[in-house]
Amino acid sequence: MKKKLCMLLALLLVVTTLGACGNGAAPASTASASASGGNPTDKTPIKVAVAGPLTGNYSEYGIGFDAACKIMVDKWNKDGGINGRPIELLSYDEKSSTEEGLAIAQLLCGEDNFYGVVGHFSASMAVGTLYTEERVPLISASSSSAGFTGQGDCCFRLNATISTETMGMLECAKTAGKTKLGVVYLNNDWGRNAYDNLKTLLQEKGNEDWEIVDAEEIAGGDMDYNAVISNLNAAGAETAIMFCYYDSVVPFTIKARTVMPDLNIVCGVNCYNDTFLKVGGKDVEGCMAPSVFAAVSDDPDVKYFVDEYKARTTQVPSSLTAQAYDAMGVLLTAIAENNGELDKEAILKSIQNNDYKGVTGSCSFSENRDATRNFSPMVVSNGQWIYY
Amino acid sequence: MFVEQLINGLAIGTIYALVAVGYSLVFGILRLVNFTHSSVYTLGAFMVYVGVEYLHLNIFLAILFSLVTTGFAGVMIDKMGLEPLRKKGASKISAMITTIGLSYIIINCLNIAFGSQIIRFPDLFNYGTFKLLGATIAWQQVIIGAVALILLVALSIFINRTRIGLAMRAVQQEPSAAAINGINVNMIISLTFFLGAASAAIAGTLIASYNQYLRSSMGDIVGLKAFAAAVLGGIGSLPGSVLGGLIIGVSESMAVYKLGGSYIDMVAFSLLFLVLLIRPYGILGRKGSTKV
Amino acid sequence: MALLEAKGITKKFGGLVAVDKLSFEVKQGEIVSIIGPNGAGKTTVFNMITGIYEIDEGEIVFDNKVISNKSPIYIVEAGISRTFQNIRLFKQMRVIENVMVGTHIKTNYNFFDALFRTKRFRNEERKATQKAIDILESIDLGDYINDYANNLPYGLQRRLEIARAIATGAKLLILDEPAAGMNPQESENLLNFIRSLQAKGYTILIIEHDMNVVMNISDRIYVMDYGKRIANGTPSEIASNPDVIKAYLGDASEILEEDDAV
Repeated sequence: MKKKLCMLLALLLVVTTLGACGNGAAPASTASASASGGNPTDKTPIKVAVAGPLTGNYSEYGIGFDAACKIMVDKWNKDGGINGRPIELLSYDEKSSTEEGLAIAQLLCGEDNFYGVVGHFSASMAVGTLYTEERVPLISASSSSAGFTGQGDCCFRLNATISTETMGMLECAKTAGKTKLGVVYLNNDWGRNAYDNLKTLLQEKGNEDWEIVDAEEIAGGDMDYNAVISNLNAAGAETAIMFCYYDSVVPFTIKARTVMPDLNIVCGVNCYNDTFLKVGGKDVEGCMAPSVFAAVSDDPDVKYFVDEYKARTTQVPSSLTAQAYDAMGVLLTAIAENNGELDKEAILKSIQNNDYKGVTGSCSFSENRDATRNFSPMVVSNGQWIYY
Repeated sequence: MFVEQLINGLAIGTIYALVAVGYSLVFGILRLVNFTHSSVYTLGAFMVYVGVEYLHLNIFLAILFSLVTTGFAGVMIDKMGLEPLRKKGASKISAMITTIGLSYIIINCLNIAFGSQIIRFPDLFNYGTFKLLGATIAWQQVIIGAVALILLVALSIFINRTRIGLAMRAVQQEPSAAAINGINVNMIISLTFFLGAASAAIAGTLIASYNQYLRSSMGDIVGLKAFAAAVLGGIGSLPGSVLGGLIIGVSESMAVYKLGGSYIDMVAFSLLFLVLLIRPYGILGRKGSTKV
Repeated sequence: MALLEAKGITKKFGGLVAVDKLSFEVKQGEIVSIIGPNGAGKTTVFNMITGIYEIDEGEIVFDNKVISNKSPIYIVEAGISRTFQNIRLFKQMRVIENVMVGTHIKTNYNFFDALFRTKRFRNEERKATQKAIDILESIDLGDYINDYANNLPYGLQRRLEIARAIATGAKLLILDEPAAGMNPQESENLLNFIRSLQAKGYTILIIEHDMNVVMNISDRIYVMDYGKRIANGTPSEIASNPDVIKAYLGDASEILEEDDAV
């Protein structure tokens, strides 16, 4: 009987585990072969890919990348594809795992008629050299690791570097006129790196406009933030610079509203998303973030993207999602520029020298393939992100 | 500043204490670490949420609803998962593994039903702040501490001053003698699980209201720390659990105050480690002690 | 009419027959002893009577009710209570609390009464406390009411265990080796105590190794060996029974106690 129970228990555990990762590794191909016109002889699809976590802890990011890239590819196919050839988007689930991401990269490098990848999330730092060896362009919409583009000359980053984003956050604090900073950073590589970077930036700038009055390293998640807030309060912080994810920013903000109602909370671009607004509710009103993307913009391209994204996912696209959309735009434009040639080196060169104007603004790259981005301070007002 | 951090620590400490008592109650009676306790704590908070959001109850009825359903869930964990094992004379380790498995099942069910994201929870005690010795203190902290403390005192009176409590202590000390003196041992075990689950439900509700959100993973860390608190104070000892909870709560806020926020999770277990080196049975625990 | 009657009761553990078609009876007001060498099955018989073991064959009747294979609680309610070979007091409770556990069975209030401390609850508690005090005073433990059971001398711990059994309202007290570990003086006191219980109207069934105790106190004696009854009669009859002498010869200097298998 004991044995049976143990077996049953083991079985249950296995079933629940399997259930959690039920979406297998098979690519969800979305070949929209509705292409028309162009060269009537060659209808072989041009393949591009998006890879991101569709399941697991970071699934919200991957799902956003996936939807955004589909919208961009569908738009191109509706306009006749590239040179009459349809575009086929290969969509892979990285499952929030580095190993899985690497396996996907190996699979992709074996594809015929394949010209580039948007994404990777957990495996960004593991796949760069592989793609570079195979001369496949990789455009990341989210990588925050300093060394990402150093992996090889096929690695491009449309996401702002940590310094650029931090400058954007500092500008937010300055715009709000609250420059006594309390830095709250996550105790992982990214959080510590961001904080070190901030200190370096302030030294370079001669530390005139801002002053760090307190820095709090946090474990993140479901911790009791009151102790941290007490420290910030005692140090006289006016602005909290949040180097942490929205699942820490929201609980922090809720608590801060009681004890420090006047605290200006500036978070990173990762908080520019719908869940942050929904869960935060009235408490995140007034939170600031630098963003290259504003869903409220009147620009027709932005409107098209936001409406299409809302129709497909019922959500407002996040800043990172918009970057993925533009990354796919940059990739397809570069492929299209080399009429019929489809020479990999030429495509890489076109990406490097692009003058693409996307929903996140100019997408040009610096010499070392990092995007040069322009941030605008945004603020939460009436449940949405608007220009400050 | 010190006062502020002390209050922060005491507020969270009473919650740890309330959860720790549940570990102690069940351990005292079955000599079993009940790992479903942290998921029952989470379940309790979700049941209040269900009461408010789906059954449209007012908050007090929702809490009552949660107490009854969560308490009942605690009893069912024993009746369906553990009592059959006891009857077959299974080892303690099988029972313990069963509780770990059941805990995963409960959390998985919550995940399927509500997702793993943050869900907003009504703030029950937001009455702003007040000043004490120059420190800014939120009323909600005081109220949470007071509610938890009142419950702990009530529980202690129940166990030490009523004959049902007497029966509970009897079962803990000598189950066979208790049975032979007419105590329905299974009923007492069920009652213990009910009390443990209901106090966890209240603790979960207090925390959810304190943080103003809940999510299915909210019991992971609190459950472990409360368990540490129970062992620190001497598992099986009710005053020990309370003391352990308060010590861990205060030392955590002091760690944030003096060392920084990333030390918060380390403190509880470092403390546990040190105390057990000096007092292997916990601060108020005794060797072979069976006293609640 | 017997108060307790066992009719051909049998208990098997796997292939081993621990108790084999045993029959005996205890009449109202009697002191009856069951004796036998180690492993004869005496404690098993007690566990069968008190519902800790199920019985495989036969029937036990108490006070005109069949009690075999009923729950321990049913049996306590029917009026049987026991003590243990190795004392099982609630050692970290006070003396009075130990006795009040015995009265638990008669509790007439529910959980909510306790929670809100209703009038009924307070009355019940007061009655129970008074009853416990009465019992303790009647057996000369009145001076120790507030002591912890752990701190009582050994002889008094035995006595307290009996008090707890009495508190359940039992008519039949089953005492499992009450004189175990006692010096002659303590044994003597115990004998007097048991006789005083008989005088108060209790019926008593004893398992005992101490022959002095058994011969002095018993009205009748049953002798068991290898799970079977080999003799019964008055102490003088038993003393001269050749079967009994034979059974005890191989094990005459019995000191080690039978392992209590509860």
